[in-house]
Amino acid sequence: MTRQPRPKGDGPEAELRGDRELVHAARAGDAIAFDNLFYRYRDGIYRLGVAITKDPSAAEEIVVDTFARAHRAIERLEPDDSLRPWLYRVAVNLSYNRRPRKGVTFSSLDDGTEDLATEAETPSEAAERGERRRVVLECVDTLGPKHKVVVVLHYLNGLNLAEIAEVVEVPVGTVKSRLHYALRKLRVQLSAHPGLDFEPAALLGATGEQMKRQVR
Amino acid sequence: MRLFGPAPLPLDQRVALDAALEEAFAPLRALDANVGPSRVRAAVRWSAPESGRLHGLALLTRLSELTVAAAISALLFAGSVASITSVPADPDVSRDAVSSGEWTLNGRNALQRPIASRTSDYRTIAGDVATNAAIARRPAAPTATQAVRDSEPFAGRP
Repeated sequence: MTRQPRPKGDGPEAELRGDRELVHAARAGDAIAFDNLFYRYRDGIYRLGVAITKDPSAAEEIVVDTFARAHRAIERLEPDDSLRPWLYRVAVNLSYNRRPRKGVTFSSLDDGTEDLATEAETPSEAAERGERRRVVLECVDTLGPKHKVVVVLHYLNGLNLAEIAEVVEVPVGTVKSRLHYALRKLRVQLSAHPGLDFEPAALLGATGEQMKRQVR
Repeated sequence: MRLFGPAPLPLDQRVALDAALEEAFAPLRALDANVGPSRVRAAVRWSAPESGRLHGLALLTRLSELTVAAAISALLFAGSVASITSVPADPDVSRDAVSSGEWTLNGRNALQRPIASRTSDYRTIAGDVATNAAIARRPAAPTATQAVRDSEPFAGRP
């Protein structure tokens, strides 16, 4: 993964322009306005694609496909609505519709590049942090698609419940429920790991089935 | 209908989970995409639909192709059907040339004139027949009889 310098098109002037203004300008044929929209949402869609597909090259294709669709649909987009939920909805659908490449398996969301010790922590602390991160991401991977996308959109992309509801096209209450059950399941799974300092599942009000699963 | 769902997570546990998830997603949150808008433009350009003018031209071309194909098919079909259903007509024997015996039946039961005949045109045949008939009807002219004597070897010659 290479870090890119901040693009010139997304400068302070572009940040001042809202999505609505940029969409209007892009409709009028302003390529720079469309580029500003691209730079504004490119990284978030890329991270979402990596989190779901676990394939960086597939995530790049998802970014390109998402904005290609946005370019074609720019005339039909309602400028009153925020562009972000629409883009994320397209990206989520593309990510789940993309078939995994044959012979290529990605074991975890974490590539291990962040496990190196920093100046503020010892190598053992860095290793412990990396292990904890790996376990959490493995638990996230075990969630179902409906719950996983809510967790990823909330904790990775920083969308609030209303925006997630707009992305996945369900009521806000459903999003809240899915997030709640996802966190409960994560909590139960993380409690099963002895190295992590999580409370046992019995204290969480877990259901009987979850308790049996954990005992097993 | 469930009246009593599972209890919500206590706040401290929710905070601990939030912290764990924030920490787990931190490396992913630091990722940047290595794609530019040029790739989007290329994708849009490659998948762009045809313009209306080009679409109309293509439609016209396709229509003309279909018309030509239909015409050729109809022609071939009509020819094949006609060759099956057509009955050879009775030979026309009303002409003088036919009755003169110069016509012959070929393998398809059709009258055919000999290729090497001088009477390749029926009008010539008719004219010849008429001339011959006129000559035949002409009364013979009386011929003068001259006595030829052997003593005059060149008598009677101009």
